[in-house]
Amino acid sequence: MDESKRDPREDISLIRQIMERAMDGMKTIAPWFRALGLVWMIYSLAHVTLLFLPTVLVLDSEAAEALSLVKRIVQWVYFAVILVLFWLCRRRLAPLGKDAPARKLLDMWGVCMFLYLGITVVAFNLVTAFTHHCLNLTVYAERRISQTMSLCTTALYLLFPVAPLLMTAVLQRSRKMLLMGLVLALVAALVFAVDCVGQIEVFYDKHEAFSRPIWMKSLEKEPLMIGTMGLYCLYSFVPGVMLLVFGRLVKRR
Amino acid sequence: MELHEIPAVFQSRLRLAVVAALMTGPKDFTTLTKLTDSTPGNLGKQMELLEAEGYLSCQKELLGRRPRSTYALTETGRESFRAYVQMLERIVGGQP
Repeated sequence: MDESKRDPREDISLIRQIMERAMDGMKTIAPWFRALGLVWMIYSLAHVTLLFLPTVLVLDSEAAEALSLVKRIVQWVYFAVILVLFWLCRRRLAPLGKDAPARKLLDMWGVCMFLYLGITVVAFNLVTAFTHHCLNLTVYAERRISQTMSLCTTALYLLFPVAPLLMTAVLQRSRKMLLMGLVLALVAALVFAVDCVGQIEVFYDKHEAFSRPIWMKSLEKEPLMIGTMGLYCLYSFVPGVMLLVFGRLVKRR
Repeated sequence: MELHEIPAVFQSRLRLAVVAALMTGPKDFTTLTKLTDSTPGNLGKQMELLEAEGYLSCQKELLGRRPRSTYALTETGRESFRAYVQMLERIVGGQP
């Protein structure tokens, strides 16, 4: 080959080709899934602890406000950490170019995750702040809005992590991931359905003028309790999903 | 781009390919042969030259009874590669 006159584009193309072959981008993004799983686990524990604290401790209104502020700070810190981790991982993939499979996989997870976080963290906080400070709502009405948003959170688990997990399972041809994705989808759908029943129950409790359907007459608070427990279970699934994906990507040949 | 503009080490595409491969982490000789689609003899010569120029270091170990050489880029090698890539990007950026 005559190397006396080289097109610089050829050298760039050669470098990209070699690095993509050598880097095995999937192994480069694997640590991101592990880090995300650990961060999510810590956040889930903190979130659930802060949720249960008011039921364990007797808090006055000032303490309750302070706790609410702490919850919001934890959420925003968590959001910032996730963003930084994603940006760092993406930067490591930069030499591969935008067509690299690992980059497309990472972007797919990123889009689903940020949509999920955007809705649950940003929208939830905006709606809560708006209803609390701007509208003259009763405590019951505020609580109903909050419960409805929690219901949406359950449905959003189908957006993240179920959707990217199923797509990754197909791309990586992993039966374990596919099975986990389908189980999660089923659990999320069931929890959502039970939560809906719980919400309808609360409506009938508060509006006695309306008569309950026959099939609801034998139910007490079970749907709400099951729905709430289901939601907390779903929280714990996400770190498991991330660690499963990490394990799969690291073991790739 | 004329040959005289390319740094001496990167005037061989094979040496450029080796350095690019090692930017992603240490590799053994067999892996480098596969990644660069070269023959062991040709690759061996280029590796010696790169090592003599201080671009890479070699660690030899025994796996059972078989010797294994693992190559890694030195800081000189990394800096030189980065500078070369920046030069390429500048040239490509300036061309229509």
